[in-house]
Amino acid sequence: MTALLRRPAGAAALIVLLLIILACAAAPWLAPYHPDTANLNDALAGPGAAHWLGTDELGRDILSRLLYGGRPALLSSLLVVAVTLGIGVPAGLLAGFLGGWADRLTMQLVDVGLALPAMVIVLVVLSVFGGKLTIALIALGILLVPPLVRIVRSAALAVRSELYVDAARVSGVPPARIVFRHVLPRLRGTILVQASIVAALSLLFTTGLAYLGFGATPPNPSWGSMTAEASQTLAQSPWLLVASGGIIGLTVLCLGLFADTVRDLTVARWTGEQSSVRIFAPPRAKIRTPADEAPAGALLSVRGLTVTIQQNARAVPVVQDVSLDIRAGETVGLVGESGSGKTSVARSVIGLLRGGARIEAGRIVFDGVDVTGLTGAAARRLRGGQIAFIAQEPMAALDPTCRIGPLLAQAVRCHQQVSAREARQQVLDLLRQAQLPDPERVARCYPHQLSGGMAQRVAVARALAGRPRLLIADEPTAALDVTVQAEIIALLRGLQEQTGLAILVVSHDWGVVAELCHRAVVMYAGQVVEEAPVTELIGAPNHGRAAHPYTRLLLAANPAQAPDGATELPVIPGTIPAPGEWPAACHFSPRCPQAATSCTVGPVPLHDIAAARRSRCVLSAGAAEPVGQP
Amino acid sequence: MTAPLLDVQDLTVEYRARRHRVAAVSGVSLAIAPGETLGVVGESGSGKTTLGRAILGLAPVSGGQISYDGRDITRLRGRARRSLAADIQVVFQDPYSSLNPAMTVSATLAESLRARGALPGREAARRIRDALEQVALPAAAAGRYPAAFSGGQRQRLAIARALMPGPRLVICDEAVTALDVSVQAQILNLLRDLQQRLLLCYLFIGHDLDVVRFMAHRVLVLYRGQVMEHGPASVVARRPRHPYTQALLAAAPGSGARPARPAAPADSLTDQPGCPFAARCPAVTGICRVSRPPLVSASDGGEVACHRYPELALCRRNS
Repeated sequence: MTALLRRPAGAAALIVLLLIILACAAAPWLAPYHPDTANLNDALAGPGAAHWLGTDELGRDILSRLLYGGRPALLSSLLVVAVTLGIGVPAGLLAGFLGGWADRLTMQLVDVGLALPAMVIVLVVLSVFGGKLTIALIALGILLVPPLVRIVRSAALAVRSELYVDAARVSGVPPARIVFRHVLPRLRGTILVQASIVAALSLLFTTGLAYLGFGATPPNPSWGSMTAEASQTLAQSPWLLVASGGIIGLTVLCLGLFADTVRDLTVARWTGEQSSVRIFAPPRAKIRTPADEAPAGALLSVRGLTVTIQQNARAVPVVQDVSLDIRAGETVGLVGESGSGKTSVARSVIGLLRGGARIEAGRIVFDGVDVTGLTGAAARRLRGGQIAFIAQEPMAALDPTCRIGPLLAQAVRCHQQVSAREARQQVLDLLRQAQLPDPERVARCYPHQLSGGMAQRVAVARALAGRPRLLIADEPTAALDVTVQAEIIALLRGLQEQTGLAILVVSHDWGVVAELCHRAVVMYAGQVVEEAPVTELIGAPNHGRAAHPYTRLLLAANPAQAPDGATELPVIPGTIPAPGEWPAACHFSPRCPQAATSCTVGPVPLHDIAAARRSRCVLSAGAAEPVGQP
Repeated sequence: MTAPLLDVQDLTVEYRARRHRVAAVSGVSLAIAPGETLGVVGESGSGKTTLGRAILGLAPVSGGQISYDGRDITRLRGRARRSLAADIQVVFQDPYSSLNPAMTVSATLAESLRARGALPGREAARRIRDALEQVALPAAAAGRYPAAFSGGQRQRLAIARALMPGPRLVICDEAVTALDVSVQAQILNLLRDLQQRLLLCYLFIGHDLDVVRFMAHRVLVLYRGQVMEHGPASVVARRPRHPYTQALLAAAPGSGARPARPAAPADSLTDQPGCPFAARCPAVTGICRVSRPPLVSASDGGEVACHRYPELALCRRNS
């Protein structure tokens, strides 16, 4: 409820709706006049002190008639909503949850129902039952069931395949209870929105019926009949239509706004705070640039990169002062766990930061050119051209409606002015370069016809279309089987040998880093904590060469290191702190088994400990030899 | 060996795909003794998840038999199946989809208690507190929604839910796959510790040979729904006998060895008469393509389904 009040549109809609309902319910006490009191001397008066909303052609007070006329309008909407939801929700739930013949039968009935002309049938019902509006409204309610069934069914189908429904089954929860406890609550938002649509529809429908002469018997007022009357005096007094039509429009609008807000709020409660926090486009700010220059020979050089996100109107860093260099022909692994900021670093380089994140400070230099925060055409030329990107989910990265050939041809023609025919030829070359068997056949395939490994090869082929000099691979093998993973790693290594490509691999998998990378940059809680040649971190006995305790512990936690018959793996106690909760001193100190008082004094700088090695640990500071277990 | 708690004989699970039937699991037999962990290793499409779901009663069994504690549970439905919930529980892979986001932690945990019958509110609250403590989560977690927890914490919640009714067999379907290395180690230790304290039996399904080796006493290797080999964890994971397991081990990154990769497999799942691995096997011969190799017992424990196992074993011993 308090959350609702923080949404002005939804709260206002609720207040207006409540006011309308209460005012209509209290019409006998609130209305200044009796709704039928005619005063022909005062006919068609505009709004004024005596009649706030004016009078109609018989001189009756519009405000009073609107108040009295709201009752039949709102009650008939309520009836239609009750009938539609009462039939539609159970039918949709059963069809979606049970599946099989129940689903097929329901859906066939729904298809028939959708083909029926609602207005005509309601008119037939009215003529058969001698103009009884209640029966016509029930008929209308039934006619609005089919679309609701379809929506509820597809929502229920989606929930049915959730693992927690399986878990409930395994827990011995009976099916009826699963529907009520697990499926129905998830559909609450959907059903609420549909109810508001049905209510709005029925309000408009009863207006239409009143226009045709079916509705409240004159002189009793209803919103529908008042609109019909107003339309007859449209030329003399257009105001009448504004008043009667306006109240209907206002009610429909408020219903929609209120339902949308409540739906958003229920979803927000389940998904945490994020969805209720609005993401503003970050204002462009002057980016602070650090003084130190990129070393000669680096293809990509990142200096002092700090990335922040907006949280409760505060800029919270997710990446803090990260520097790294990649030379041509070199592969650097950016290693870290979720929440370490490794993906944000990679995305900063290609200018594709997400979720309102922005570069607060630092400089990204590619081939001697400052590309920090590049936007527009210049960014597009760089992205996919000089710098290519492959994502973790190969299938999700390919447009499912587009064949592989045209998809790649599009990428080729983005970066080169070539004829369609030349582009086709280049696509086949690219597919061959990615070692796909039978490139002609693959070019004719849709993505769903490929296996995961083939899809990742296609993604590699697409990345190569712009003849890149730097390839950024975000967890390139995490979604693949081990044997396929090995093939992709071999492919990337082969490509590097042929073309001198520089590769930045973002990964949490030490095995992948060991296979693919020359150097590893280890990140923890937004900072680089260690940088070293891979051969000095992995493969050395007991990982004693890792200088930072976090790196050592992370390597040791890998079950591949556990001897046969081990009953316990070495663990890092606690959890990685969320952005905004990082300690000012060493970020790892609260979890570090070797933490000393000197670790909590102040920020720890990243310092050189040997050739090509850096560490952010006070224990390794000043020591030429890395501190480690023997 | 004591009588197995779970005994699966010749299990087959088939799905209809358009016209023909596709076997996701084909003739798999396994047994788990009380207090034991059996690891099941396989890549995607190997049928490892379907195997677990069939034992849980979530996948249709087309042939074979599943016995729990000496009782046939293959085709139990309705009330009889639901009463088994107190004995057989599950921890799924995805900690995000396996908890209902619209239910508080205590509601989720209380629900899985139902299998043991109705409990007074105070007793249920105590059991919920105990379960949370068992998985090292604060008691305050009970009133919150799953969205408030990280992936590792959610997996602890999923474990707490599985433990609520006091099961003897827990099926862990890729229970640590979605987690970071350091969190994975914490969860694996927790599972081992709980097994010690509560004398649990695990069917531990995974694709990572190292994780399964750490968790399991014995390991079963599946490929396209069939058992390739099974045996003691250290043998299967260190000195595999079957060419497929050898390929798996060699492909694990960081292993150093890198044999030539066979070409991508032909992606048809239609039943071929021979060994399912024949198309990719470096040691393939004529007979592999025409007849399915039977499981024969191996000298260093367990069984191997390979026509060429005797020769290959001999070669290895001599080399």
